[in-house]
Amino acid sequence: MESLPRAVKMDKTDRKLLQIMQDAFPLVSKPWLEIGRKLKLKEGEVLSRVKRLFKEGAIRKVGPTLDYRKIGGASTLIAMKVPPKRIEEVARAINRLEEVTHNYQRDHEYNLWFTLTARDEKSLQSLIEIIKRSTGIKNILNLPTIRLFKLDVRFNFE
Amino acid sequence: MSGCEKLARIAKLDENDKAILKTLQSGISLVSQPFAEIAKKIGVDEKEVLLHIQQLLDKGVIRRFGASIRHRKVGITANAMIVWKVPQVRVEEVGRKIAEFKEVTHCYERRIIPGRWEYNVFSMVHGRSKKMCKEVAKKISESTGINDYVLIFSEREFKKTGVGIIGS
Repeated sequence: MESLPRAVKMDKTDRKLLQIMQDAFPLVSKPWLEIGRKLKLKEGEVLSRVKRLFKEGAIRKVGPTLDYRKIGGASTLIAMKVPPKRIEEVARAINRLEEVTHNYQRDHEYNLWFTLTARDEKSLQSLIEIIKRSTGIKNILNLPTIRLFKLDVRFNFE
Repeated sequence: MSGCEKLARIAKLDENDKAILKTLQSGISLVSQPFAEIAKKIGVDEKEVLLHIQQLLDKGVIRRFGASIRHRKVGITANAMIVWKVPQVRVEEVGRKIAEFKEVTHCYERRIIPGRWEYNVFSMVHGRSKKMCKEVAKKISESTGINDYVLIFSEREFKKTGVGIIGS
């Protein structure tokens, strides 16, 4: 759990590399070689830059982002009003659940916001009940999605 | 049917799809031929692996294949959840308008709880500063004519992972 992590030092090439890796990762046998061609770097150089960016924590992973709607599953956004002195304890308890993907403390009377993704609606509802009971927090909002207008988590690094 | 958007048909995944997705949950390796490595683990051809990934992308099961960046580590530290109170008849129009802003990464209509929570449209804006997020909020407000909104900034990130294949 961190308040604000230290920024990773990156040069212009690192930024270009991140952008390509985020936006246009080549699905080919030798992807790092391919990226190297775009950046005029050897495969080895690409790999060592990527390894450093991983080590420094700039990259979480390289892989697929799934659309849970397409593989079944039910999801929702939960907001809780947690007494300030309990926030870390409650956040830790929530974090332990594998069904929790994002968990943020926010600047609002509802100060803990997290997303829950379960196998189906029934499991999701049971999970919410378990959370209510185990944390003892009564002031909880369950805000499922009615409609998705956009989901495109990409950033501009350059 | 519940309020959630189960408009998308559930895709049929074969055994190879499932094996590939499961293996990919932790990401690809930093080796010259990462897909060959996966192929070896599962017992298929490298070509098969690449083909399946492409098909899953085409089907929309995979939304994106690429690097998941820890934006807070690369200077994009302000994260504002901007919630809007939009008259029901305007939700679709306003939702679409908000989605057009490139700074908006997520935009949803969510359920309200009358008397407790009345903001029905949620938009996530990430930026290099709170000031930038506030400016985006202002632009959106001006463009949509919606003035009832709140910026809820994140203070601490307790957890951030991707959605995996639950319980497989």
